[in-house]
Amino acid sequence: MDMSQYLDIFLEESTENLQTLNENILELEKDPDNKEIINSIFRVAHTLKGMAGSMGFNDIADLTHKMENVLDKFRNDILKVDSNIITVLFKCLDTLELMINNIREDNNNTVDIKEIMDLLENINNEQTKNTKSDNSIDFSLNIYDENIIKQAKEKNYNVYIAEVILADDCLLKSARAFLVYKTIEDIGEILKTVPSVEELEQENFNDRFYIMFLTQKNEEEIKKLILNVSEIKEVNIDIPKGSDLKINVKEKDEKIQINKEVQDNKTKKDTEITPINKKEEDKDKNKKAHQSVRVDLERLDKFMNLVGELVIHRTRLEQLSMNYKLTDLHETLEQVGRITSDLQDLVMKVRMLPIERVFNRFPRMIRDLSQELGKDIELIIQGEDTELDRTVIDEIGEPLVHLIRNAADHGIEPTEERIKLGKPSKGTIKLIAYQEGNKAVIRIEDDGRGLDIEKIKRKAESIGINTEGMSESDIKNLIFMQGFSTSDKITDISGRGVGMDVVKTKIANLGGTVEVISEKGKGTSFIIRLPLTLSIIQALLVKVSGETFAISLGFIDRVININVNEIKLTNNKEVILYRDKIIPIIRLSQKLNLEETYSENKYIVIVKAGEKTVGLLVDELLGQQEIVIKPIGKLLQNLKEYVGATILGDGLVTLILDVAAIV
Amino acid sequence: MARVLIVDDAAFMRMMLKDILTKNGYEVIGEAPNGAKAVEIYKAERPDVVTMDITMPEMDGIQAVKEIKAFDPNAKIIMCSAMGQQAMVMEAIKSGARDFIVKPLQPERVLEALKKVLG
Repeated sequence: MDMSQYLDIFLEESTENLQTLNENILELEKDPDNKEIINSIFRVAHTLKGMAGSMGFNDIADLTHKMENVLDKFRNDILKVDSNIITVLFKCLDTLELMINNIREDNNNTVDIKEIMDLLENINNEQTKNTKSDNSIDFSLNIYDENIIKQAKEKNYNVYIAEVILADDCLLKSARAFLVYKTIEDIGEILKTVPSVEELEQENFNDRFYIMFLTQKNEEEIKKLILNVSEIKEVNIDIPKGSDLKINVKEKDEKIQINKEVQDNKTKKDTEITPINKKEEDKDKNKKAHQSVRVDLERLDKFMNLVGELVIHRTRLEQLSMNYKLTDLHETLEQVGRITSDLQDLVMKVRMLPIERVFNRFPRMIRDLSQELGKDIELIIQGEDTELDRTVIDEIGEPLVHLIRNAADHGIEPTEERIKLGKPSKGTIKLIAYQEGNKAVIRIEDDGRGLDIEKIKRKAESIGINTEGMSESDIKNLIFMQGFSTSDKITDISGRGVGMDVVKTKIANLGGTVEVISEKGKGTSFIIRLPLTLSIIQALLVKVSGETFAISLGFIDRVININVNEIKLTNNKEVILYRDKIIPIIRLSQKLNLEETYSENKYIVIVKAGEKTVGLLVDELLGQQEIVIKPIGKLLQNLKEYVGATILGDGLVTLILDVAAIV
Repeated sequence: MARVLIVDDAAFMRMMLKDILTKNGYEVIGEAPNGAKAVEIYKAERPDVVTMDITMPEMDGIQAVKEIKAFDPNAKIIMCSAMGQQAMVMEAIKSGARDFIVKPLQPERVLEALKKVLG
């Protein structure tokens, strides 16, 4: 059968499954007794195994199968969840991810799974040893039972303990157990079962159970009878040694009984609360599954592009109708205008994804980092439902990883140091996302040692930057310069000083900005501002030296009309005084190497980029318009002043200014 | 050759079971689509073993087990249950069913159960 048609969906679903596994296992580490989580992990792993198996990816299927075995041990309380095993499980997930990526890239790389398989096997084996020793089954008998035994023995009855092992894939286990129970009941008297009858009924057992009973039949006969029930793998009959049993077992058992009760209560409580949530969750999931459709991103991009074209032509039509003053056309166009705006909103929303997509890999990362660094770090995530354009989501991960690694490695102090400083021993890294106007803001805050200004200054001077007269925040923002690393030691966790400038470039490429606020000893915050959407923006069209330019409204604070003579010079820089504030001025004509037109009456567009407020001097304002950003192509890529170009209503190609780069 | 009565309301299931059984040397002496019919055929034919579905119209499998057992305490009945019918299966066992198989049917499981019940 040709499976290639299912490959895409397999890849997508298995990636989702891996993510769920990552999250759940992380959760499990925090809450090892939560059966709900284990079950959910088990389910997802099982799905993954099934999918991989039917696609013929046997390595993946084998590995998940081994994983499942371990999980099954958790599920049946044979194995305790500990951080070693969790680490191995995470390793499995990493390996699986690698394998799935190889399939995605179709690169024929094979991943050696022998090592990880051995690790899993070891865990599995360890457990078996444990069961053997742990499961020396305790039959506690009360005096009443003991009397019965005594009397029974006198009447030629024997006491047996039958260990019944069900077939591996036995379904309806408790009905099966009940059948065995009934079979034994027909030939004798049952004294006790381990686990208890109630537990057997609730299927609270693994593949085996024990029944202690009195009968006149001999071992062989009993065995044969029990084996006559189908789906029984093995029956072992044991004759308990009378006196041993009583004394030994009793003392031991009281303890166990108590423990067991406590645990039972606990699990009961857990299960009592969780099912409700669970159901609701399932319901939600079902709902979602029915209401969503998977769409190839390429199609969405095409859709977006077409809507973009539509917007361009609409503006052209509008212009024409204005020129020819056709009222009828104008009215229709207004209608078309509304619909295109709606369409545009819609396609924009379709492309938006919650930033959760990016954030959800960080808890795992922090866990690994804290282990690696021997630091106790807590990650707090807020606003993961903030939505961003798909392109931004795809690109923002890498810079965030870098910043978080930095925070964990350089920001958060080692535990002893924190204690010495009187800080809580556990370091905190906060990852917060929220929407602010037409921007999405992501903050990465740590409560670590903060940036060391002196160190940055020294470093700056050593590479030839004069820091004199620079404000503290300017100095701090130097860390985004190329070749800037103040860390004394280089670790493989965070960079060699190639990082921060890459972070900044990456974010700038997305039309975003990043800045740093830091207080020594208290911590560091990185604030990333990103546009919500990339391709269609509201822009102000301005004229400079006869050329038209577009400025994204997102940056614009306000526009003022000034007389050129109001511009003053301080410190060799041009500024204006506006509402008692000194605002530095950039003459766009100068910046863009255009010949300045002389006129007294000009406009200042006050823009805000990050923490900076700057006035851009322009000749004329043409008005506000929706524009579609088109990349300007490879040839002109080096023009840092522009983010792209757009086609206006009159067919004119206009450059869009990159405010962040200019100020 | 053991004589079997197949009871199931789904013709598809009866067909499948019949297939499995006849291929393995059993003689299917009758098929019943409900409990009432099953009791009737049992009384007339006295089969060696009965495979009994649980949920059926008119008379369900459990009631049928009770009536057949009342007529013949040595009757050998194997329940055919779907997943999630654990309580019903137990009820049937209490009423005297000797074993059960779980749908979807696996031929080897069916044969194992039959072999064991027939001892």
